[in-house]
Amino acid sequence: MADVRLEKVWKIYGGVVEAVRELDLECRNKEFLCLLGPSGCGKSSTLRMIAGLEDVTRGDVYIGSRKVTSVAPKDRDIAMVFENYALYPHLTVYDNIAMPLRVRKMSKSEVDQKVRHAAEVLHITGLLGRRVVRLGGGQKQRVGIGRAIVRTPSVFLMDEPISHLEAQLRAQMRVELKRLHIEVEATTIYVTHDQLEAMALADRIAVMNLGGLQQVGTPSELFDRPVNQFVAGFLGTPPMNFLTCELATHGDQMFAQGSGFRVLLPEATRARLLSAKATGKMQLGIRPLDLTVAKAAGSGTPVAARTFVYEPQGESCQVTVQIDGQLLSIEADGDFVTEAGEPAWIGFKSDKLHLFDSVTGANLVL
Amino acid sequence: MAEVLLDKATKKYGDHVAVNEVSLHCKDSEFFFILGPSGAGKTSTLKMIAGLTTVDGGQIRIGNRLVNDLEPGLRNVAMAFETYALYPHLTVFENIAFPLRAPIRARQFSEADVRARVQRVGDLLRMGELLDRMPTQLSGGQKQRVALGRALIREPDVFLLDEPIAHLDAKLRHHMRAELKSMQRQFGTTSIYTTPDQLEALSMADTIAVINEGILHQIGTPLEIYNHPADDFVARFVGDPPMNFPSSPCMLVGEGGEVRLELEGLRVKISPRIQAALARQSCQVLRVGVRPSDIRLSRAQEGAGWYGEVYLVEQVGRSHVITIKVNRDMLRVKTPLEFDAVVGDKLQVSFAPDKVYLFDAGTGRSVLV
Repeated sequence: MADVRLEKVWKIYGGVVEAVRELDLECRNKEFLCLLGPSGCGKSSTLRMIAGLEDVTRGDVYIGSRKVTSVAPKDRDIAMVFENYALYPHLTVYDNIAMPLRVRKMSKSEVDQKVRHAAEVLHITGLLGRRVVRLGGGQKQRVGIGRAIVRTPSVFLMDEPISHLEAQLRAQMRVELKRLHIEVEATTIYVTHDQLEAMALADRIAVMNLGGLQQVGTPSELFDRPVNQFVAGFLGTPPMNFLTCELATHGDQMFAQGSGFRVLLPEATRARLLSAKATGKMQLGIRPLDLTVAKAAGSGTPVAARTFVYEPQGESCQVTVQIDGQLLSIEADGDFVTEAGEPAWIGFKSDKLHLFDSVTGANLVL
Repeated sequence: MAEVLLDKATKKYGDHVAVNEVSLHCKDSEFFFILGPSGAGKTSTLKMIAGLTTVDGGQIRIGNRLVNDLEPGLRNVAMAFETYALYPHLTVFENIAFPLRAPIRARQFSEADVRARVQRVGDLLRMGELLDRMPTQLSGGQKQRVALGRALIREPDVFLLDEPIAHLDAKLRHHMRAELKSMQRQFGTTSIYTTPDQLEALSMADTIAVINEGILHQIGTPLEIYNHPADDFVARFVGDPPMNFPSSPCMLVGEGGEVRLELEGLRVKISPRIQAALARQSCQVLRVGVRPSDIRLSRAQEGAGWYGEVYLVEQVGRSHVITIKVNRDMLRVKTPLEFDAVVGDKLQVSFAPDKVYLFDAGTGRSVLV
């Protein structure tokens, strides 16, 4: 077991492409840390530098107290699990899992004990005698993980290990992976582009974009206190709504005001905006969950809109409304029913509202 | 505009029956969904309607016309696929205009006519400003819209869409759902859409047909399908996380004028509505289904009921999905984020009254509909 630290790490390809820019990051001992971001954000390059599969252009990587920047991959005491499992198709599940132990010349009985333990944890004991070619995708991935577990590495590195599986199997494997982490208690760094997966799995998430670290925090911190518009928009489905607005004051009150709407800001928000001397155009961000919708005007739903699309989804529904040509999606209870063209009245939960600088994207109300 | 009628439509590949006597009625200008897992027979059904594969039994009618043996070109249907197959060397405008310039229609449309139609379709698809672009300059969602435009420009009677947005990422899919639903309304073209994604079907459809292994399980509006699933397949397939089916045997117990269900010590009150439905049934062995949001967890440590151990806690948006081991089963429970359970917690488990689903354990049919 060990923590992993990156200190001012850069990855520059061909002297020009800055894939990872001055990354400072810590994954604590026994932590499940997700590296999350869109394709090309630098998350896989980061993982590969930790693994030693890519050279570090500048900066240092530490595993435990040891600087490993120039240590060969096999001497880093890590195990890596990929999206494609790289198993030996004609060997049995047992032999695939046993492979790294036999390479180390471990005794037969010790190999047997370790393989059986891993198989038990992964619920594949019944498959040990089967050849890999005859397995389904989820089963193969379990074997791949089994092969990593038996080595009892200090750190697990996983690069989108389940992103190619179909939805239901993915949900099931997600449960198994997280459960495995609880049982094995290994420090794990997990790369994904799927925010739902990161939210469900991680103790903490590091969000990256364009080679740079945006924010590190627990799923709740990132979801409710995003530092900038990128993080706010990347986490959560349906995604956060953004509306262009300006601040307006009226006596002691401050409003976020845009085309077709005006929202009273809570005192705490006002105080923060005043101390930040925020002015000019900004982006109001609010999650679909934090808007309310009704069929009639009310004190809680003062903003006039029109339904653009109504989507029932079972226990909830999605209402997309138009306010002066801007589209806004709202998540409401499943028993709310309306249809396109109908009037809708909207309320903003003002304590859940964010304001982002139009130029830098920084969250002005944190 | 036209309605589409399938009467016991059947498709066989050798011994394998891909579509087994499926009957359905898609009304004029309706947005009709065929929902099912991969291998259900969705695409085969669509291809029979399009004329891209033979019909091995039953009838297919478009409008009032029997089309079983009519060639695809004469059916006036347009089909859009998941892969958009745009011409990379042509502009968006020329891609959309392409069907109008086909030799078979070349004389039908003047150049001014073509321009007007492409502009109209382009505007409806919110691509009006991008008509001069090349496909390589477009995002995935925009390419998909060009492909739709090319199908729509022909003004078909019926529009067939085969998993058109399955490969887009979650955010874009969310956006395209709303767009497609709104477009379908505006065009008013009868549209049949296949998908394995229950959320897509619930969100967009006027009517959903759920099929599995070539067999039609249920036809209904999204709310009917979700609230009144006809059988345990539909119940399990529609809803996320899926409905729980505890394996405990379920008994009906009448006591002092009150009827309730008993599952291995768990007592579930049932409403007069469910009691009345049960009275009409001859079913002997019941299977209980309960949705993740209809299971209640509490920290109570005594009293009758079920107790389970938390196996996993996952955060999904501002909810928790808790997997809890009860008896022999793993149940998934959706709770507000404030319910702060951790792995290993012992919790009491109960079901929200009147929210259980009951199925005939033999046939799988719902005993409530």
